[in-house]
Amino acid sequence: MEATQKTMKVTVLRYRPEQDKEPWEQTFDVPYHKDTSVLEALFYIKDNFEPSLSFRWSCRMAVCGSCGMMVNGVPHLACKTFLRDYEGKSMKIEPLANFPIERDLVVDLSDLIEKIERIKPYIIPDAKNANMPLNKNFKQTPMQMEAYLQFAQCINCGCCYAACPQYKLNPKFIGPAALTLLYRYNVDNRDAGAKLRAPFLNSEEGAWSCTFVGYCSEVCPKHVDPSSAIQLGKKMSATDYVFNMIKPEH
Amino acid sequence: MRQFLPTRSDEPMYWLLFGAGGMVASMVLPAIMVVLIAAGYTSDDLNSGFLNLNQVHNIFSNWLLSLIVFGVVFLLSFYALHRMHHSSHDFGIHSKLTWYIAYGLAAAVSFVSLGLQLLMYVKYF
Amino acid sequence: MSEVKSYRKPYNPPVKKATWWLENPFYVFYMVREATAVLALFAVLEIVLGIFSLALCEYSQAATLTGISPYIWYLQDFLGNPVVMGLNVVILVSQLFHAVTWFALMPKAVRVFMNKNSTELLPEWVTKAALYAGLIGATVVILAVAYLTK
Repeated sequence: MEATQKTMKVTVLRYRPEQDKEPWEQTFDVPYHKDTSVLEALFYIKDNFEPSLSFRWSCRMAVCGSCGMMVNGVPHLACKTFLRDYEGKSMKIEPLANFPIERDLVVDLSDLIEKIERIKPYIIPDAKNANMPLNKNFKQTPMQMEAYLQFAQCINCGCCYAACPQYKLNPKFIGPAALTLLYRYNVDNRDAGAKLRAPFLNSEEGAWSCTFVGYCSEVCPKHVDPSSAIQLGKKMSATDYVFNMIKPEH
Repeated sequence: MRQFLPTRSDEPMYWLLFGAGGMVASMVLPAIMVVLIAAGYTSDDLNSGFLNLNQVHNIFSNWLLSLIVFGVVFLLSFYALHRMHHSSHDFGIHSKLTWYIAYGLAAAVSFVSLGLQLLMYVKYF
Repeated sequence: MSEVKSYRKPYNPPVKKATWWLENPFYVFYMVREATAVLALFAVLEIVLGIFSLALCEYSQAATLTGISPYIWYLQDFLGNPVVMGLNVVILVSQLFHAVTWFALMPKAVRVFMNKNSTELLPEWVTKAALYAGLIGATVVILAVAYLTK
């Protein structure tokens, strides 16, 4: 068994803030079989070569969104990416692009979290339903659920921000995941918070910084399709703009 | 509280023009290019070549056809320059200047076209 | 205040503001897609040049040919020039490429249900087919009118 074991050259970007000025590369020979994930390759490196290697992980099954990182320059979830798909090639693992590197493969996602918070990612009921007793339910038809369900699959992994050149060029851009969640709550029939979220959608740093590159939808590990949500958000914002021109609110 | 909220962008106006212009560029412009190429190819025949004088006279003396030509020029120029304005941002140029150049040029091209078309319309009748 | 010394020193990778798109074929494709707008602008300027040359003509003297010499210049020396004709072919191809990319992205901006009681969304191919039908229809109409009225 050992003799037939395949190995791959895996290069990992290292950065130790207490001693390094800049990130540097370290290469390891990692044995793998048909279901070795990138995350498992990192475990192997940590267990056998470099105990100090830091990376985030939790669920190992593409639910928690902790292990987003760049594999050969493309944002991936390490737990959902397999070495077999890179057979015959080498592999380079880097921390998620467009975020400050904290240590090795760990990035500072504060900006992503703050932006998601900004759009109020929770159901804001209207005045009539605000004090609804807990034993009563909102009614929702399958179609009303279908309207937002795809966009509710976001796990906040940050892969779309790493893929977005507009976020790279202008970090003020609120970004794909925040705009997707904004759309997701706006089209939920239980929600009445669209007006509160509108300023973040209508502004320059909102939907209008997007130029429809479409790479976010390409890399999204949960197939949320953020670029679709942003275009639908632009339609929402443009409608609001036209109505505001006809009948200004302020 | 309100002053902390971001201000509304005027981008929807340009985006709607861009969307309409992009549709024109994808649906109508290929055929226009074929006509222009054909006109160049048959330009030796001044009486029955593509875009011969009688044909263009008939286009620009008809207010509806002339308006359609203006609409194509207007939407295409805003579409193209809107995209180029955003491309300047993609090349790392973040300045209000490209905004003035892009939409100023688009407005200028549209106004020149409209003025000349009105001039011709008046001249032909 | 914590008594523990912080070693935090986040590293911000430098941003290549003008050449970032060279690093990924997807971005290169995007930039090519955006660049088709430059050729569309050239097509607009060609049309406006034609209108300008036409406006310079004195139509009442058309019989003498000198009155319409600006438009003859436009037709024969500009549109008939092999360089311009070659460029026009390039513009034609670029706009067809633009059409393909435009139609490929358009379904993402359309999210409608099949009917009032369905959870099934309008399939992407329906939107795309409608757009291609529009392109073919507009092309046939314009070419037929241009040919029949010449």
